[in-house]
Amino acid sequence: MAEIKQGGEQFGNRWGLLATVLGMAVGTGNIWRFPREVASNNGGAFIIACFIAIFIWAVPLICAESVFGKKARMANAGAFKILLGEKWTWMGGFVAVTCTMIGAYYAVVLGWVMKYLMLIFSGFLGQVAQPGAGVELTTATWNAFAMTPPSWEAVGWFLVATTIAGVIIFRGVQGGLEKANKIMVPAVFVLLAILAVRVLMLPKAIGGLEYMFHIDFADFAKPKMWLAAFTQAAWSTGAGWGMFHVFYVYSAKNEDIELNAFTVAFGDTAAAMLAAMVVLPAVYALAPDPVAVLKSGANGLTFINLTNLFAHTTGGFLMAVLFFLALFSAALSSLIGMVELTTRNLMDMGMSRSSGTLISTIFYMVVGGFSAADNNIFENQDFTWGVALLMSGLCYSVASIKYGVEKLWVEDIEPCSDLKVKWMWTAIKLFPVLFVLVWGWWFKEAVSWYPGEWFKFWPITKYVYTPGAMVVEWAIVFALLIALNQKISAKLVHANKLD
Amino acid sequence: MWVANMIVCCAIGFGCFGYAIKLMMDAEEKKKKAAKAP
Repeated sequence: MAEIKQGGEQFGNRWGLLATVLGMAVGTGNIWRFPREVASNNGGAFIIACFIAIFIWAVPLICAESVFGKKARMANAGAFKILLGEKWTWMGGFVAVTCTMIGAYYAVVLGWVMKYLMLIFSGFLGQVAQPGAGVELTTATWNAFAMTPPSWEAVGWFLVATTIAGVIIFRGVQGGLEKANKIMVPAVFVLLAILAVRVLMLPKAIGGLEYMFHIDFADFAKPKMWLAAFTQAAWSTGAGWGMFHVFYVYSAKNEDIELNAFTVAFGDTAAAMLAAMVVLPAVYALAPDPVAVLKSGANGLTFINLTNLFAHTTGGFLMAVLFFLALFSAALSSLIGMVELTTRNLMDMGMSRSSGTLISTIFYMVVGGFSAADNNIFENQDFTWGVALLMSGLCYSVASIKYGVEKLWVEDIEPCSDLKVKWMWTAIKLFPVLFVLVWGWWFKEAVSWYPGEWFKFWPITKYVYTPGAMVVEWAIVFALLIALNQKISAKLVHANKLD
Repeated sequence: MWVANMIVCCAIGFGCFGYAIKLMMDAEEKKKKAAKAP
């Protein structure tokens, strides 16, 4: 056991930190997003693009976050203040707000998964297997549950999910975060591996693997595929979300940064590939029209089509339980990371862990409640704050460049690392260029999707995906943070001191 | 072709993860030995 100095919280050992950051990274982005992205981006070339994005986008960003947390011993806003100066506090604040807003609607997904686990245990698959039921029943059930606002039942499950995450965070770093993740993270890998073996034994399942890994070299010339790969890398690994930063506030003084970043990025990739090797072969083995199923969107694929497919296969009950348990563990381990981020930022302003957790949980319940009640709001929040992650990543890149990329390598990364590959860190300098290319291309495309309406934003239930709605929501947060910069900065004085 | 790509992708995806875990275990082992040494 590493030492825990009076007044500060710390992970028990390196494996505790690794389980926690891996648990945060492996989430719904792996299990339901990656298989769908592989399918919609034509398979093999997309996977290779993802590997490139991991090396030049995810690993450097994870290193940047980690070094900020370890160096400042404060969460996002506090660390930007300590390392860059008071006038930069708002930048760390934007990272914290982005992740908090994502957490608020992310808890909704966990609520959905819990509802479906309950449905499966109460014999729902038997009803779906009845003649004439099938996909019509799974569609009707999903629509009645989550797609018909106000979805009060979804709100109820969302509140339960948020409460569970709040209770884990309330128990602290070693008693809550570390203990929960040491169980949940191996569970996700084991459940997915069992599922993959079972699914690959089904007839025609090999078609899913062929679709997943077939390669068309013309795909490498498509900007859309690269955008999807870089967005997937950010989404899935959690690079730029600010959570690695917060977990490193509790790391040992000599904690490795680069090897841990590399391990988490590829652990996350391994989980995503395992998930895709479950979902795509399952769809090919069980669905009469696999392509239509794969294009039915994340929710359609998981809650409508996979549920239907599990109902119509031998051993489907067990497969469904394993799949939704894996999704539950992955989503919960990510959500607790988000609640911890919000809580730690409040603790840096002088709150106790219990008060910080209580306020964070209530905030999640209030803000996320709108997303739970109305799926259009959920979609808008997913879009607005999902894209804001690129901006969060930019904040870390700019901050690293301003502080000194070389200085951080010499002082903090290289001395403690068992993997000393400098270019994997210095690639952080490329981020602003990649950001302009990726975001600029996306913005140009998005404007063309809504001719004459791209700048409109109200009501957001109507202008769910317009660039206008997204930019207005970001602008409100930026304006508030810049206006309150001095006040927030003055309160950020309570670092997690280990001495 | 897809089989070759599957082998390459699995080697990179699972291989890098396995290699990183091995490096970590070696480093922890070294630390333990160093701590035990008089």
